[in-house]
Amino acid sequence: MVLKLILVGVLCALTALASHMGRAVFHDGVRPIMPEYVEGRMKRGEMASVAFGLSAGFVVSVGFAFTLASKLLNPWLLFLPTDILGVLAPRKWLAAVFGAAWGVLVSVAFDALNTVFGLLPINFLNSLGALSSPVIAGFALFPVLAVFYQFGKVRGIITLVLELVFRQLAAMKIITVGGTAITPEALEMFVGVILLVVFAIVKDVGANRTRDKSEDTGESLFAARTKRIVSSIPLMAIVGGLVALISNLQILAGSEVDFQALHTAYQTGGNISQIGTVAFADFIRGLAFIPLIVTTALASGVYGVVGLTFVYPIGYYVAPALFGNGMAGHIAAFVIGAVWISLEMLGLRAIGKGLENFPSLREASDSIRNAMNNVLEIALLIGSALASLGMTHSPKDPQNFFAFAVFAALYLINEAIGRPIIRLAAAPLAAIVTGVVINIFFVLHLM
Amino acid sequence: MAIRITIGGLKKEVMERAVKQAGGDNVEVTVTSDFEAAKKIKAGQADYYFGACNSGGGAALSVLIGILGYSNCATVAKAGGRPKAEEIEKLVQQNKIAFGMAVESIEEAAPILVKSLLKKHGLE
Repeated sequence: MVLKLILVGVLCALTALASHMGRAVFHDGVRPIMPEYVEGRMKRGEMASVAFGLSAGFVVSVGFAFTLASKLLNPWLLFLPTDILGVLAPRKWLAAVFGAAWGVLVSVAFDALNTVFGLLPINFLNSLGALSSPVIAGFALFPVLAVFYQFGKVRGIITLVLELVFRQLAAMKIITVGGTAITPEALEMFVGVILLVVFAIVKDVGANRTRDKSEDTGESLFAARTKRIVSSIPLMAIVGGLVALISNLQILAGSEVDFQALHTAYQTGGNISQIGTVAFADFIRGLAFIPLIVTTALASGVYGVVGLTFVYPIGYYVAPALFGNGMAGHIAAFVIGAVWISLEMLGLRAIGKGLENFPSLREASDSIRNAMNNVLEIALLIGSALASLGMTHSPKDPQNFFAFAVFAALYLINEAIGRPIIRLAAAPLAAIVTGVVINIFFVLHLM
Repeated sequence: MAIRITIGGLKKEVMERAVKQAGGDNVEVTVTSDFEAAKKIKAGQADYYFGACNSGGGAALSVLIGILGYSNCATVAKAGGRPKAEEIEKLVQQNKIAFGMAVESIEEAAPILVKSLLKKHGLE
């Protein structure tokens, strides 16, 4: 516990410092505005208020909801505020102090909240486990949706059929890796993503033949600020290493893709092949974010505090898979994470250039993010509904839909009042509030 | 002449439908990626950019801000709030070029934005 607080505190101090010095921010939308502040065209106060405006909603919706539902810290909760605090602080040491204070504060507050929830007469935390079940299963189909968006019906249907066939081939252990079974969802996603990439590259190779190669605006655009990124490597290597380490220590979930699945896996003792599937999903998500993060980083000279997001799966999957769950795994997580993020930063320019020649890959990344979003919205809604259902509905009491009714009401109220909380976060948040509400009813003897 | 609008970001298909419906023959819509769109605008091959992301101010505009500059970009509808016609009108009058909005408000914000732009260009 103390170790956790120290690590999270140090990490948040460093990310706030990185933001203060204009070296790295988490928010992809704050990043391109940072040069305005770094180069003095925008005042500290104004920059801080812009960062606050862009982030606040995400902290309280996504940040709070995901952490309450999974008991794992998440980057929106930790790093969006340190983006703001770093810019807000007038001095370096103050930035570090603010960052550390935030990290310690949220860790303690959410642990306390979880303890309180655990003491309630009706324990709804176990029901929240149901949240994760539909997510990975549904999520594996996102490449199909992405192909539909970008390449139309015919190729979409081909992708769907192939994905399902390969899924079953893996499930029936007809396709294995040297005799070891592969998780069906992992192969399914893999096949889909490969198809999407192939479709994109084929399209670009055709277009590249006819395209005028002289229109390379990217070069001059990015040259000036690339140096700045390279000079940030020492600081960012430590940050990247720490992010991988706290993922490895099972206190951080990196993304909307992994948080419930990791929670479930950790609760049940952490089956490594199950975690591998999650890591694979996170890896694909990372790929989808490459164009966005690379382009904004090259254009601004400011990197992302978690880099290209691969440090999460390095921490919770690669390190333990290679070096076990003990001390060796922890050390490996830090080292591999640090080395990896340094390599990313060194390779940034090359990746940017590569993307120049394949605009369809850039579009594919939009399609993937779009598809992921749509799939997750539904998966989280169904998962949260199931979780709520499980709070009062049991084999002994099969007609009790009270919690579900509360959940539905909460979710629909959010819709009715203009959706102050985005859908992705509204469903898990509604499930949590439902848990609290049914406890109040219980205490009042209304149940 | 029709105004040339490029579309990038998330839910492009929803954005495209909304823009075409609101603008009809007065808009010429190209669905592309944020980076390609920014290059087009810089090269004078397009007039405006519409993009959506979860928050409206984040990924929707980040590449555009990097390439076209912060002062040319504006968020017209944030997540968690309703788009306001007067504010959009004001941003259009300030000669903003790239507009970001939350995915959940595309259907509401995009038509208002198109109408404001058409008004500005005297195409109403």
